[in-house]
Amino acid sequence: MNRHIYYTAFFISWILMASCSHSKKFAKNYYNENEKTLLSIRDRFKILFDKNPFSLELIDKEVSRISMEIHTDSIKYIYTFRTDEPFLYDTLQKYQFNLKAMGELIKDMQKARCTWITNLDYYEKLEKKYLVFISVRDKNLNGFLRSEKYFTLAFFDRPQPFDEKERLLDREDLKKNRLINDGIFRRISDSVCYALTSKYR
Amino acid sequence: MIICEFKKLSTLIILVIGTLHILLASPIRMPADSTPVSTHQQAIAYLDSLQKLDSSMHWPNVDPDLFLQNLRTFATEPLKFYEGKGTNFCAYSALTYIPLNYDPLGFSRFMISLYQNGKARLGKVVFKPGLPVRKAAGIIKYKGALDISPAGQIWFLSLADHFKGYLNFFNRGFDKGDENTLWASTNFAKFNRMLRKLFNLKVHARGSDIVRPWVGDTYNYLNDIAGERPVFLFLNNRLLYKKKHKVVTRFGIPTHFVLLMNVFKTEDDKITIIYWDYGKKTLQQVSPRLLRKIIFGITDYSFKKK
Repeated sequence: MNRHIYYTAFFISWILMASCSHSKKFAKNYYNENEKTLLSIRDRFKILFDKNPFSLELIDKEVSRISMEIHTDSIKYIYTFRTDEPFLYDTLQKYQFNLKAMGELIKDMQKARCTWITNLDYYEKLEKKYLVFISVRDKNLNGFLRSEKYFTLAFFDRPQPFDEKERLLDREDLKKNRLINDGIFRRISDSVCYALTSKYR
Repeated sequence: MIICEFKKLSTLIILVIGTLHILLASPIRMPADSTPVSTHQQAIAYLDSLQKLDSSMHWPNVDPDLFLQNLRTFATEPLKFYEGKGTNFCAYSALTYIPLNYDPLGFSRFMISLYQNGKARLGKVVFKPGLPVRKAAGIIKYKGALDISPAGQIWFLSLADHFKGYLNFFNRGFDKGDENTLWASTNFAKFNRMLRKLFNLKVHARGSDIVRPWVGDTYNYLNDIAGERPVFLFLNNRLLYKKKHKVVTRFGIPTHFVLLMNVFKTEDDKITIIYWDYGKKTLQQVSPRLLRKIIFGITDYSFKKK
């Protein structure tokens, strides 16, 4: 009887360990494979955002429908389009977006399976700062009986402090982890970190 | 004679009370007077007259200068009032529209009193927040603009500390991080109770936490009541921000309160809604079906005659 319990416990802990290391492995592999595209998405998004603040979401599994949030000073507009319909480009034109750059950004997001991109504001010493926040949905993170998971990336403008376990720290209090969307983020490089979360935005 | 009149009088009183009871229970609304009690300028003049605040022993982590600056921003830009990223403060934020728009001076006075004395009265409610809440105000972090709004933190934490609904049953005492948990959450009945107790409003609520309101055509109903003043909506936020990554649909329950500011139909039979949450107005087009599906509670209000 005791032996059965022992084997069951061993099997469960082995599965748990395997799934954790799988997630970590996925994060590293995905970033290495897509680093160039992701950095390019970040750079182009920042340029476009500076002119017209917006967030972009690929809604469906086939990444063929997008939702766009366009921010003005007083109001936020939320639009939903299929990427092949003309209303998308009519709307982008109306808000004076660079059509070519937006088209390329959407294509790259589809290619890298990015679900969501936005500029998140955060505060340091009462000063407002931004980081680019990208969520990725990948079939390797989701499966039968598994809850939905996203690979989320935070791109800071300058190097960030991390602890010995490579967890992002609060610049104002180096004993505390700095949370983003209530999640603990881990180091990819000095200014890029990631988390596997259930929320994509 | 006197006894005879007394008997008639008592019958009359019973009749009047009975009629009033029936009238109050019927959907006929009380006449409304939505003229603001005070103006934003009066609130600013009052805050300027204070010049400087001393630190409060009741709120050890709240910077008085920043607190006063927050109150000025509330008075001048009420629609920028922000509940914070990922918190469960949306209900408290939505109802703050009422004092910030109809009585900004009264709200400023209340907040100053709460800051200086650690307790204050608003409507029928005397707020006396507990020590854990008072210690937490001013140091809630990673919530966007709420990080630099200790006044907002004081207000939200005081409301969540005072008002309790069934969702708060298993988490009644504040612990660090509870701004994201059931401690701060609000069910529909609690929301309506807060409106009644805080602002002397006559509240007309339709819907519940699980069953959608029976109002016939949702658009027509909203269009009728949202004409005069904004209406509070209790929504399923997951459906509003539609995402179709997984085939499995989640159990649809409402989790978010917004203030509906306008609703109208476009030529292609889509419905445009303009609502206020997260410190901004949002314009979004939805189908009539989605509108019906996302709304679980509708709260309209009118002002009681004094």
